[in-house]
Amino acid sequence: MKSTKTFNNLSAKTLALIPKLKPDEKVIFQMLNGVPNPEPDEKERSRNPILFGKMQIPTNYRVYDQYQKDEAGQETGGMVDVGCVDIWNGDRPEKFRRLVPGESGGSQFQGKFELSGGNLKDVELYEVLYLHPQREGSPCRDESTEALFKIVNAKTDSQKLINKVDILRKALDILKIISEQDQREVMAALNQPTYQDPQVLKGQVSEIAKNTPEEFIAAFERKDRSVFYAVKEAFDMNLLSYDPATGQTNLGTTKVATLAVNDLPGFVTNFVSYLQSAKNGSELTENIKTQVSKKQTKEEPGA
Amino acid sequence: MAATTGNIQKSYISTLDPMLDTREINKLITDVYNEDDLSDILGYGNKKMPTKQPVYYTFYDDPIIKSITVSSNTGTGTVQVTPALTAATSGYARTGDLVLFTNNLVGFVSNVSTSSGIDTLTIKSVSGANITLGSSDTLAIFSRAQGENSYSPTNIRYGLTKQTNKLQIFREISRITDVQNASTVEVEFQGKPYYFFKDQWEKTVKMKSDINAAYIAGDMSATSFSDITPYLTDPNAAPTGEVGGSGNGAVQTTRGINKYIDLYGTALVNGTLGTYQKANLDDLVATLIAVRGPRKYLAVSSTLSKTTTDTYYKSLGSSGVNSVRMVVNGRELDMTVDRVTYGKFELNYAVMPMMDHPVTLATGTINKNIYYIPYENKVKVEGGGSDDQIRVRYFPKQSIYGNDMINEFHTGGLSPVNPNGAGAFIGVDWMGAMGLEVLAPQHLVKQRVLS
Repeated sequence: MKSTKTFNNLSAKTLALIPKLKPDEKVIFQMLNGVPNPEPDEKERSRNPILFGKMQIPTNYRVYDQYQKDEAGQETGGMVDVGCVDIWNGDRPEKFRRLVPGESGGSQFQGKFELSGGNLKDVELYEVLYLHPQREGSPCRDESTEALFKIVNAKTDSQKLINKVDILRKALDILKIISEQDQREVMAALNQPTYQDPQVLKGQVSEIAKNTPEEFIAAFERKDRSVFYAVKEAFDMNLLSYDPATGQTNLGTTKVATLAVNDLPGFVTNFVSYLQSAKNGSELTENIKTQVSKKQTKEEPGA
Repeated sequence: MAATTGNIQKSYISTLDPMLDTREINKLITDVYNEDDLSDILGYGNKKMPTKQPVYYTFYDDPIIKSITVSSNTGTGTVQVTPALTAATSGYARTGDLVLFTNNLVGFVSNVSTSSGIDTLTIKSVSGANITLGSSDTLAIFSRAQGENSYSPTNIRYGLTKQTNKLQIFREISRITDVQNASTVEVEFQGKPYYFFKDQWEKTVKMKSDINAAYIAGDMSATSFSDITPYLTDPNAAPTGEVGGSGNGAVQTTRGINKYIDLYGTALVNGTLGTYQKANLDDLVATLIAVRGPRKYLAVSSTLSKTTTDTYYKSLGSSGVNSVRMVVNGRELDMTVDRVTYGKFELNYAVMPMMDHPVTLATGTINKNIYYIPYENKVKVEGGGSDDQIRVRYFPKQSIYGNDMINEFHTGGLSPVNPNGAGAFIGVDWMGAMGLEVLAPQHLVKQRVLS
């Protein structure tokens, strides 16, 4: 891009961040303003599942260039006005490139547009779009504004998809072998109800494994999940009690800790941390587990 | 109190009993918020049409004259090229089509092969000059040519696209007890010292504001009244013992102008927000040409948004801005607009009071945009004639009282209109089921001018 002292005056380091386009290379951009088609008719909706309104992408903007040098040559960073200039008036930009993706298409816009390495005007625009503060993944991204578009990287996107499937597969594999007790512990570690009915429990655990497989796997792999379960059960059985006003935690009638938390999920997490760090933590944990186990045995029908 | 000697003076009277002094109160209630004027935008066009269903549809055509975009190409610099097209522009080209290249050279489509939804064309130069074709060029299929003793060309089908919007039920209520209805107050409303009149006027303003704002900022709900398990339900249930509707029904909402533009129109944004420049005007005109917009547009906005264009036009040596009375379909409205002609387009700038409201539309970016709406409010229909472009669809009134769009219910034992029940109150409810309909929303444009 053409630069002057007052415009497009980016540092060499920032300019070096822009990958060079080869003459036969194409870059595909994906607009991010798509919304699911609200059309009630499924047949009509299937023709255009996502609707992309035609939205202008401003081709002039101001970015923070962290490598800008001051007069002494020190990298102090600074703001730079950048733009894809079609008409210059001396060193002053007169007119910027107009970019409204999909405008010339006539029919419903599919949300993608591409720039070609062999086309000089495209290359100039690509450089400006690469650093655009509203491009997802831009090195000069302005988080105070919503991302308008991104570069489609088929390789990265495919890898993300593969990883996602791998994680889901691992969660489903765990689901095949997980015992009933492990299910209760996982639910406790996720601050979820531990359900008495095994069928309901399995259903809820399956739902979590399907919808949030990463969290499910992390909870399953937690070494302290049995502690979460014991604390949660002890609390539900009134073996443990907690006063949010004073933070006093009692096991039976004995005060065991003072915790500054406001709600039950916060209490369980904090109390487990306390048990792991307190001097008598292991002893207390075993005590809680024993008492929970005894009470469960007593409450079992026919016991 | 016993009689005493001395002059009757202010402090003497005031201390006899506090109730002896009258209170000096201005009986008129000051309308600080001026929300009646701010909420009224429906005067524009005054277009409405009854509907028989709470969900209503409209269809629009496909463009008949198409362009094609090259995805990859071989043969540039020769008399014959074989471009593969993008998926979005595949399916239209036919053998015998004439295409116009970017350097005005004309090509003849001699073959079309399709694989996995991607067309690959063979295009020969008509003049025999070498063709220059970029790998992402867009070309127009501008004409056709057939040979002698020809056979029919491949038939081409033009589809229809459906657009939907839904009615929304608006409802407001006024209730006053027997005691308060009988009691006078020190202030007056329309010459009457009763609170009931004040309440009724305020509820009218509130309902009008709710309806108008929905037509600008609303979005169509996924839920319809017909849903078996609706996502949106009315949380208001009828009180125990109340006769009538049970409440808890499905809720649906209507899509307003802003969302119509987000989905089907064009949203422009100035690179330098806060300063309107010639480039922004050029952007607008290029868009209006691209969307085949009509010649006359009404440009409505908040006052602050309008000041950006005011500043631009009034700084020009000869801007040709005229302030005129607004006329729609021959009906003169109480609205002054600034008229500008640029290119073939006539832009009529006006402030929409609701966009100046400090609350109603102020939390988003709506009042930072200028909305360009076809001025004549008419759109052509295929085969000749025209239809209203923006209008209200509504269920006609089903109650005895009210107007054609708003039902008015009177309830309570003390109701002067329709006394019923044993409750010692007067109650009035207003309810209207209505929604917006925009035909060819592709013609609508919004332009963000403020940050």
